[in-house]
Amino acid sequence: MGERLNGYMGRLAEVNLSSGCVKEDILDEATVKKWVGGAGLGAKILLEEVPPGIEWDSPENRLVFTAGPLAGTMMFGSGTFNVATKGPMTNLAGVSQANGYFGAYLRLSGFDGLVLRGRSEEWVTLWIHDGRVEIRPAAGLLGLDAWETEDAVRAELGAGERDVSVFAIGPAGEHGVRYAAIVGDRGHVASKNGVGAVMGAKRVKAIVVSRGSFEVPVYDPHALRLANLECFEAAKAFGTTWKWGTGGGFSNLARSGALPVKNYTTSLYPEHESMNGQTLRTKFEVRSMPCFRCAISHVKEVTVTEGPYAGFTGEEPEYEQLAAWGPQIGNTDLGATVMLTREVDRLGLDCNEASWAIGWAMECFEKGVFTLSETDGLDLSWGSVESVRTLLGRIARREGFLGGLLAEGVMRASRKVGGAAEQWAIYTMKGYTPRGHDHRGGGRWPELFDTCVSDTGTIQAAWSGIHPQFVDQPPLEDVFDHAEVSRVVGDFAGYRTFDDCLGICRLAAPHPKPLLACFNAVTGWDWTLRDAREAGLRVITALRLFNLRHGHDPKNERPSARYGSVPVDGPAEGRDIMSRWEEMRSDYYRRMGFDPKTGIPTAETLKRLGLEAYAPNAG
Amino acid sequence: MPDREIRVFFRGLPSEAETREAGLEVPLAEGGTVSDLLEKLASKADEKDRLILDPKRKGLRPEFLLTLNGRFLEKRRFPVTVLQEGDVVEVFPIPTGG
Repeated sequence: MGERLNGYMGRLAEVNLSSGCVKEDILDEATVKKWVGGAGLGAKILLEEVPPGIEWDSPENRLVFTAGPLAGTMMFGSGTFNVATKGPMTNLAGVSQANGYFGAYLRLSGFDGLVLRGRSEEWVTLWIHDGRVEIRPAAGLLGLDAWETEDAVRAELGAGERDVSVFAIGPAGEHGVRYAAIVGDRGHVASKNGVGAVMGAKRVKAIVVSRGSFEVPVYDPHALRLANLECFEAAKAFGTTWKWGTGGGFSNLARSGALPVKNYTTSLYPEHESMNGQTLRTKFEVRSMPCFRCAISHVKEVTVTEGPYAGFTGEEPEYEQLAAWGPQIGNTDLGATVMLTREVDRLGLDCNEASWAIGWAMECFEKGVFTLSETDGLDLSWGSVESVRTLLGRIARREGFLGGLLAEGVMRASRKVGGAAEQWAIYTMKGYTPRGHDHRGGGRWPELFDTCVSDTGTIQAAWSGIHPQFVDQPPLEDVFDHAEVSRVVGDFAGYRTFDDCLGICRLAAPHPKPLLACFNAVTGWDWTLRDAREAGLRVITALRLFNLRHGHDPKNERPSARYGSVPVDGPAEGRDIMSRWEEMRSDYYRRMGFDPKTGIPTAETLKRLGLEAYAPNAG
Repeated sequence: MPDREIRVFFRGLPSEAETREAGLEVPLAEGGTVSDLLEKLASKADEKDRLILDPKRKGLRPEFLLTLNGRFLEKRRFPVTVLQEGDVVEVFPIPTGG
């Protein structure tokens, strides 16, 4: 063992699934000072170990699970981890985070991360405990959904509720659905860019981590305690989440035209007050399901008390699920959103992509492109929640024409159907879909822009809006001003990516300043906000270099026709983000240190970030 | 000329978990603009209202949006937009969620 490195366990486990060999890599100080952890370490490993020509389902692709220096400490919500891989939605880099317990337990079991390479001959599970990794047969688990898998694994190990953290794939990951997720700890998901499909391609059904007895070395526990309380106060003050969960913003999103309604065919959803977080927590029975050491406890279990799904229990739909299984599919029954949320998680699908795919199919059905023949007998009229439930199962198992088609994701499905239907599909030209909003609405243009220019396979600078005032930058004064939008996205980029390196839930620590104080208390370093942003920019730029090597064309950094269309009604009617898109993109490139025309990082930027060795024309 | 009655709704504060659903009826002189309305509200703002309204700016704090009769109104149009009897103004933070 090397010298104690505050904030780090100092070890990565690498599992070669082809050979069954497990080895350890030592993390040294120079590496973590450059890449921090989480998304940063994931980006480094992708860039160094996955060369061009390796496809997402190749054994030589990597699937990297990394926590971060704050994971497993006394901080509230410090169970977060990051997954990085070359993903099937884009054939480019994907980084995705999940909360719960896994990130903390990984560290308490002695590791900062787990790197999977190769492909197992037979389906397996991995069990991480006491500083080692065991490869075990997954016999009897195939075909089980993610929650059943979790239960079966716990039973096999004789483990209690919080003795282990289990993240698994459901049928979607087994069947190579391009937007399969990795699901664990009852309702937490790493869901972007098909990380679950990659796990399935490696024939890993589940990863289990015991709550170990290692301790995360912390430089100044007292300072961490104080900074953690500051994070807590910031979290309580952030929007309406503290009281109403992420669904607390649902109605204001409706009032700003930012709810996705029937695949963007309208922006009007007058039923929003009966479908928001306030109604959900007032009418239904709710119980807390906190993540690791979390005092915010925004995650709940809920039992429906009225309507057709009365008595149904599942995890509380967060904003994304309320939007996906409410307005996007034309549903106005709140109980049905609970049912569909549980269904999606158990099947192991990304909720966003699934709802955009199904909303698009419903529009195709409404307009006669799909008939009962194409839908294999399903009535896909708006609001047909039982048809949606059936269709989700077919997608996850690639059953029938429509199940197989939609399993490819919105972009590929719509291009295969072609004609006018192709124009109705909502996605970025890189291949993935946005999160669950109508980003054409008020206050969400930054997220639309960020979604398209991001190198992560999902959002990058944005999260629940953009918050330049948190880092003393001028606020976004006019939400429909093109220049303002590219300015806030470019100048704020890096801060949230730094967060994604830390192993902490963003809802527990939404404000960058107290979060940085926690980071410094744990590591004993004395980083400034500028240092944090530079670290985030290094990760973004590394992912961009990876993407460029793997064939990314920056011309694809734009929305599909429907995603970038002009709202036909509602609060944002007539607002057109595309009228100055090229200008915005050039401005963003310039602010990021990329060539304003080509989008390629400049030599000066690579030098500043210490990435010269990875330059497009280097070695 | 009598004042016009403008209905104003504050839809959720960013810094506390509650919603003020009850709208205000605010009298405004003929020819009064959105800027005039906000200045009037800001001048009387108590501690709670100052989470939304900034007396120094004589208007909204930067993180808030405004719709007039269900349509967005840019801040640059506040000084030139004259309010009419029965107009509904809704003010809310750049929405969180997701």
